[in-house]
Amino acid sequence: MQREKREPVRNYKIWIVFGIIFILLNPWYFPAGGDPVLIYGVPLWALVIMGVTVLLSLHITYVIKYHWDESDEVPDREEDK
Amino acid sequence: MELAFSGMSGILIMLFYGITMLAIGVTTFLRNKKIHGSLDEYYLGGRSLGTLVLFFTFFATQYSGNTVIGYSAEAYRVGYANLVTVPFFIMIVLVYLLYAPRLYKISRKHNIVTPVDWLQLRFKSKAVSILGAVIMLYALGNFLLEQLIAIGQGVAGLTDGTVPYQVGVIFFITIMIIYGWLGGMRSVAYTDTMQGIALLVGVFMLLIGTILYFGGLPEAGDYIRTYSPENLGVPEGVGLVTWSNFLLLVGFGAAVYPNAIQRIFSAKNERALKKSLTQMAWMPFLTAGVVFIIGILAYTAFPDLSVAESEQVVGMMASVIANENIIFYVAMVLLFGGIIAAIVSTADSVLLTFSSIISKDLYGRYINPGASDSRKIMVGKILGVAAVAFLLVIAWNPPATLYQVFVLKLEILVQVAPAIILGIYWQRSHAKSVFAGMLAGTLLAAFFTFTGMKPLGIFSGIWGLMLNLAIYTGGSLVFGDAAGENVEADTVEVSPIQSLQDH
Repeated sequence: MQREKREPVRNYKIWIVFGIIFILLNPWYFPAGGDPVLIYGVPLWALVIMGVTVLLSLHITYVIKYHWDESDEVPDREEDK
Repeated sequence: MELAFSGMSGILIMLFYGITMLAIGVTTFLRNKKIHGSLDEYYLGGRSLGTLVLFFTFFATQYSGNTVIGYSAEAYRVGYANLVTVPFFIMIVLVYLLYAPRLYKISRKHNIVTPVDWLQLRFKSKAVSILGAVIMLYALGNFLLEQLIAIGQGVAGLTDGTVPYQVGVIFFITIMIIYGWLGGMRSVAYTDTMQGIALLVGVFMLLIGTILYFGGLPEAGDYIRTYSPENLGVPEGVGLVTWSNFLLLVGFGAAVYPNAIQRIFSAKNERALKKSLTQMAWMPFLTAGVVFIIGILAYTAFPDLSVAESEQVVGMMASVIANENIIFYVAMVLLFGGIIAAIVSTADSVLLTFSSIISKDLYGRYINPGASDSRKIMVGKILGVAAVAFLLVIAWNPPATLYQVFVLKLEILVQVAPAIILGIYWQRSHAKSVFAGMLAGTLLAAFFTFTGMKPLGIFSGIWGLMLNLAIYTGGSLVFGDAAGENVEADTVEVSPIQSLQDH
């Protein structure tokens, strides 16, 4: 297991987290209708969605950094020439 | 649109951007004269793009000038429900994570140049490859048409009609074709870098000007509450379905844009690819996010525009800001030049990919397999220009709104996503079922789109994708071979791609 190259698609836990983020990325869990709460002129639900969006970017950054090993089999083309 | 800064300064900035693009093309040509004899060199920049250039070419390909003009107007019209534009651009990077790491390695091992090469390598089916190529060419053609129209409108607006729509289009298209011919992917990527920077600087100046002269989000919130309070509300019902559909359709559809896939192939190494994708995961906040805020802030300046007027809201705001002082005047001229440059930068990559599919997949694979690379490239270039000429004829009578054209191409294009992505991992994938799924999905999506049907509020492309996936997986489960093709193994013989390796 240690020797195998890590690749995002091979780790199901990554995708569970993405799944949860995706579910939260859809604003279904806010009370419908009524007067929206505004914080500095921005609806609260929009701020929450932006927060979840930041989580999405953070998780992508984390996955690229720690779960995508570079392959050393493929030669760097610049050195090829 | 009428701009306070249109006219002579508009003409000057257009000439400046045009000449700069040409200069980049000529320099690239002088430095890389041998690229015209190799598909790899011409269409993928010799697979040598480093992090910075790769990032900007991803960026410029994904964000067109329409992102600024169209998305601001949409944010103005529908309000916070249009906030979905920020996460949907990030979804694209998420979908890349599903397939880019593996496909990058496969592309290196088998010298893949176009996404259709991959389909051919994986399924070895003429039907799948040709259908894939046709869908991609159709979507790219539509995408290119949209850019041509946008260039014309942008130029006419920027020069206050001094330079008519048609002349503007032809001026930029000629420059684009020249630098594309001269330097291929390298020219496109280097000009993308210049165009991307111009757009980013311009958009930020617009944001600063808007906040300084019109007011910030709190004021905008008050205005929206007074004039259109529904624009502050949470999307519910159909609105919520639309929101989810956008995340999925744009995420999967834009991630399998053939021009975006070719950028994965063009990376110098995995490190460059990883770094530029990480940056792309954050860019939507600075681009779509800023553009969204500009659309919302527009309420403070023009709280009560009609739908038609709202299309011009960015130009109206820029005009007011440009009148404030000389710095903003220059900044707004730069912004509109940058918007046009950004449209050109999207169009050039679409055209290059369009030509590559004709060169490599249609002409090179089926019409004249024995042709040299330089001949294939020449055929791609000539037919690419012919396609542009054909699209220009259509562009003289532009369709009413750009937004619907955008949705149409994604609806069709997303149908190749299962074959490209699932094909990588699922050995059981059965070529005939893949073909049947892709065809049925495309026809259903096209039918729903053209008839305007949207059952349950779900987009036609998503309906097509569901049917497509059902046929693909069902057919593969019944007819597929569990020990089927595994491309990652070193066993695959790649005859169509062999010619490349002669270099």
